[in-house]
Amino acid sequence: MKGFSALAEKPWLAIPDGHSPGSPDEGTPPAQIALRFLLMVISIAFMLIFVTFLTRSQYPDFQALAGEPWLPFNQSPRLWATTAVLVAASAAMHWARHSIKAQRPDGVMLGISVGGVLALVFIMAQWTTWNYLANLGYGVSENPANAYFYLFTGLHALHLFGGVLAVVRVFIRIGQGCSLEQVAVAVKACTTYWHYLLALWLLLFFLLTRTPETYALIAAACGLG
Amino acid sequence: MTHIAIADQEPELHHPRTFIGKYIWSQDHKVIAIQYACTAIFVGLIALLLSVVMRLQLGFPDQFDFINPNMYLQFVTLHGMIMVIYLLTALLLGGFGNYLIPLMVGTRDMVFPYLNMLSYWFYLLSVLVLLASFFVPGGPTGAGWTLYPPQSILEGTPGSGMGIVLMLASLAIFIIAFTMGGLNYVSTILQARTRGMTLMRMPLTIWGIFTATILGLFAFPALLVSAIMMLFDAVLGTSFFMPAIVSLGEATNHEGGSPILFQHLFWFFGHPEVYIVALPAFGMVSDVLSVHARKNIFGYRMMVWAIVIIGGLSFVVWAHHMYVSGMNPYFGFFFATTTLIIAVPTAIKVYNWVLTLWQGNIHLTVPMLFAIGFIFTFTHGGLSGLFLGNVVIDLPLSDTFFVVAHFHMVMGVSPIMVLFAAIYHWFPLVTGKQLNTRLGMIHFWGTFLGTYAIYLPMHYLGFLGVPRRYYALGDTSFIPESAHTLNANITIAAIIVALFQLIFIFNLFWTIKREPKSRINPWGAASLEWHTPDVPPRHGNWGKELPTVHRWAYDYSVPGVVGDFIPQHVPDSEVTFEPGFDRTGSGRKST
Amino acid sequence: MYIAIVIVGLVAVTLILHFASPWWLTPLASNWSSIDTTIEISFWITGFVFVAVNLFLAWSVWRFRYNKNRRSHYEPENKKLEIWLTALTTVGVIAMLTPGLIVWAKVVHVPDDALEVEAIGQQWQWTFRFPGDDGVLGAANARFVSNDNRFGLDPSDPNGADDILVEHHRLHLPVDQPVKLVLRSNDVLHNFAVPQFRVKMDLVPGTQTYQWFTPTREGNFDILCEELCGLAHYTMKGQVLVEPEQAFQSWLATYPTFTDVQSGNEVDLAVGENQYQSCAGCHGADGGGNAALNAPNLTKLDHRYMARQLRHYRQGIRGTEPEDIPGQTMATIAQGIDPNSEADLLAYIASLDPVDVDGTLEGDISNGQRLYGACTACHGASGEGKALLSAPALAGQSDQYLQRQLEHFSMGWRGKHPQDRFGTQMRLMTRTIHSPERLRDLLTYIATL
Repeated sequence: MKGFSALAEKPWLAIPDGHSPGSPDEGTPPAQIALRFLLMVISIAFMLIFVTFLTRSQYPDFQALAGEPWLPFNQSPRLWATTAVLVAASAAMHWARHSIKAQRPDGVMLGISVGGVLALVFIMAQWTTWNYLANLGYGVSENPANAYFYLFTGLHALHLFGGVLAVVRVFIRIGQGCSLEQVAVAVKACTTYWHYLLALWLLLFFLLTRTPETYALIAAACGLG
Repeated sequence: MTHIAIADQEPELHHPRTFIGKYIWSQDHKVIAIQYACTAIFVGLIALLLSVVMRLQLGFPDQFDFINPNMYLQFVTLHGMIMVIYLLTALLLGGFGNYLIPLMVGTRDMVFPYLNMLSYWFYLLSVLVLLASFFVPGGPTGAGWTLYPPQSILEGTPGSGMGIVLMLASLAIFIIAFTMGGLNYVSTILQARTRGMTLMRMPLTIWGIFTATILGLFAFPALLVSAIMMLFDAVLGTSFFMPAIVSLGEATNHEGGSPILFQHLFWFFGHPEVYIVALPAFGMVSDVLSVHARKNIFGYRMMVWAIVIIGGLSFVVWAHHMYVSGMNPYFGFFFATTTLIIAVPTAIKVYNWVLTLWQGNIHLTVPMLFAIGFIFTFTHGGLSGLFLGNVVIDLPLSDTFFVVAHFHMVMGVSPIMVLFAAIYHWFPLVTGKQLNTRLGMIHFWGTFLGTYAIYLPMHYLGFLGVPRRYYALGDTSFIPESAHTLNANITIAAIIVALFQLIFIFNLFWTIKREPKSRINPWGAASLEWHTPDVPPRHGNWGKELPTVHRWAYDYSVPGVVGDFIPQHVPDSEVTFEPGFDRTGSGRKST
Repeated sequence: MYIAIVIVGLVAVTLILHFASPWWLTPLASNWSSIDTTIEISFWITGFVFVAVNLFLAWSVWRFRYNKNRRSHYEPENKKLEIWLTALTTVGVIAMLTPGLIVWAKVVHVPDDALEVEAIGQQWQWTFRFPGDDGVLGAANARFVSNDNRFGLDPSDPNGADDILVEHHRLHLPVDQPVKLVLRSNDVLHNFAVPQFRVKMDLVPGTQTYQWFTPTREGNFDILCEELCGLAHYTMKGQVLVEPEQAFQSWLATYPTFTDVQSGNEVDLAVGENQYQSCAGCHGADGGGNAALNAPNLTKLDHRYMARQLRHYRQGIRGTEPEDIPGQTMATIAQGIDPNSEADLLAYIASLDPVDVDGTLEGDISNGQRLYGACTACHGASGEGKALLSAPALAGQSDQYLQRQLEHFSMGWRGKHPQDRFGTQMRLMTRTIHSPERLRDLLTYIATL
């Protein structure tokens, strides 16, 4: 978009000869615009939960999941492992995207299938983390910190699962004989989505395993203390 | 260039041949729009019926043994929720948005037709889930449309079991449906406009729908998040919004949550929601006024900027719904100021509507009557909002009938006046037939005068201090007998208005069955949607070739031009001038 | 055409209604006349805009109605006009906002000499607390609420010991004394609103909110809950009695402190048994009541409930209706009970074995069950009553007694006195029963509980 200057146009005046009449943004496929908006929508949803999380973290009954040796995420090898899986998934998707440019159908198939399967592995790993937490006695209703952990990771996993459905659809289309050009936009969109969810997960990982002191600091910085 | 790519898609469009493919599982934006509209009007009629029942109780307390306090609260809640979300939002964006966007910007369909179809089916599912809550044990929720916790999930409120769970689930499904539709609308408007359709050549209808859709995309997540968190609190026993509570003599397991947090989330959605409903209405009424006054909309650029500014400001005024909620009172200074600032662009819109009529050549058709009625009701409702937005005045007036009267004027009656204007205006395009004028006139006068008879006096009940959401007022020292009589009269007016809506429904069926085909473009509108090769437009809208746009949508009564409008797709070279005029001599400057 | 005339007419009707309407702000009884002034200012400004815009609208519609020989004027925009209108609107908005914010600054700042009072809301009752001699309200939390600590005060907080607990829905306040009303809820959102005081504020569970005002006029005013708080929201009413300082002090002195309430009195069951002999004639030696003599079953009643009813009988709040023979009888008897040994008497009754009285009515049980839905919240799903909500047990009570009482409520023989806080609520609730048949169905169902 040409920003504000487009909004200053006086549309009742004739466009001088020689100027081509204006046209919509060129080049960007609609799917990419839609994806940008979708990511904004998802970001807003998560940002709003962050805000409530930070506010809630300053209430006296909030017990963070890290900060003392006996707390489940004081050391979090488990979460580092799932992070590795997600990084690998993202890398595989990136490979698929790269293969589109390089015109290698095999690379695309391989990239999206590995990316999709690793995303499923990640979701399963999150599932075991939930079980692990629940078995340790950190049930969803025991403390708001736990509730937020399940809420955040659950919503994140749900979004990832939605992405897997999109990948399956691309997979089927390729199987039906669609050409690379026809699925290029979808593969690119899926890759962007994977990267986004990885970034979101890193943020969640960071946020959910902080100590009470850090929360106090962040909350104060955001004016929520 | 993308528009060329789109023009080339014509052979690719999949034309369904079976009845089911054409009308049920259709991916045509026009069919989906009609599906949206019919579903919305259907639930709207249910909500209208609910309001009549609750008005009966308010006007004639204890006269009807089929109403009890439980049902009263449930009906109040469902009436509000259905009207705001499932009728207005769905009809304005899902109905009119779907129908008009591709036709007005000149494209063959939405950019993602399949997603568009899914959007409708999710919407239908959300409606069914909502209606299902009438049939579960305990009935639907009676927590008020704001669903404030803790009460919405505690035993003392009707429908606090299955009712509220289904309500929240239905909202979540609706939001998914809306997001699918909304992504479609913004991508289509941004990326699929036809050649020559610059942003500033779009009709205001599109600007209203576009801005409202963006508001919706950014505001609905707040509702989704609060619904999910409340579901956690209700079903899993977490304490996001629930503090330590002794509910009806029994301590709950909750601890430490904050009910005010929910209110912030809710209104962060709730206030933009007002504009999600209002902005498309603003846009559509601008176009109706312009067409029927045979005059360009006055101050088009200011109108666009006002829509955008109102949309932006609507995200920083939400806490004016919470002046007496117990939030930090210092917020009051900020939110009162932002709220009153929003009055300025809104007032400009009103001035420009009136100035569009000024020096026009006004055809008092049924859509025009509704549009003029809208200016009146919206002025009234907007001005009463200045009372509630000004934080100190809100103290005596909040939670009274003044609030009810205000938001019904501004968010109920006004958008509905526009909806009727729009239905009467675009009906010839959608069906090829013009709605019966005599019935339309009767419908207009009954609705316009009737609603004013309901809501004008209701403001004064509010000044008196009559609280809202009361099943019965009982004995109080400050409510005189005359106020009870007034309440009874309001109920009678409400029933009359409800009956007048049956005339409208009858008119729809009558016209489709009995009225002859109308002229093509009967109002002489210049905007693109009226200039399709077939009326009603067929699947694909534009036949072989997409139209090229050469002007804005408001070239009415251009000096020196033969005829009183120039369609958007007509190039200057094809315009006929009066003798003595030519392109340079006309009122249109050519630089 | 008509539309122009009608719009002028509607403007006229609006103005007439505004100036001639009998419905306007209730006469002010607090210091917040400045709020009324702000409303007045807003009215003049918005009123001017309303009249001007709509008359111009009507005139335009009239003047520029369709004429086939005329063309519309072509004018895309008029910057000068638009800037003027924007500027004028801005001035109007500033003129409304400025006084509003100035007054709001006053609303936010509580004067230092304000008397602190706490109003506590719970579904669907009001109670109040004064800070006592130390001037400080003790800490409180819903977690501490029990039948022995009905206000939920923190027993470990010494500030709470001398707090005065007013377990009644009528608050007395001294006239011309600024009051800081601290608001606390034990369950859901409520809202403390007195229309004559103008200010209102929500009660939010889990936190404290406040409002302040100075009552300037003596009199009795209604407190309304104005935040939807569930099924019986509309019955959640209280009263404020504004009176001279002296009368206020003597009223306050009649209420116990937290310490008084906590220190349970010694009871002597033998004295109680002795006292009970005069009751046994009607209510039976086992306390099970006697339908023929219109005497209810006492063994199902909570001692607080009975104490309250005895007080109501003595103070002319219950049993005043001349045609209510059993009520009149009980009122006379209540006068004869020695207040000093009343606690012994009630303790003795509480020690009796519970007696279940069988139902005598025959009605439609399933319809009764449906009607009972409105009663569950307070009286319990199995009619066991809830002491914490001051709701008596219904199960096991004589259905003829219940029938008579519900009829009395609906006829206004009982519960009409403004001091009878639960009676006034029951009067509102019994109106939903509507007919003798439905009452019979309801009682038949209660008898099965």
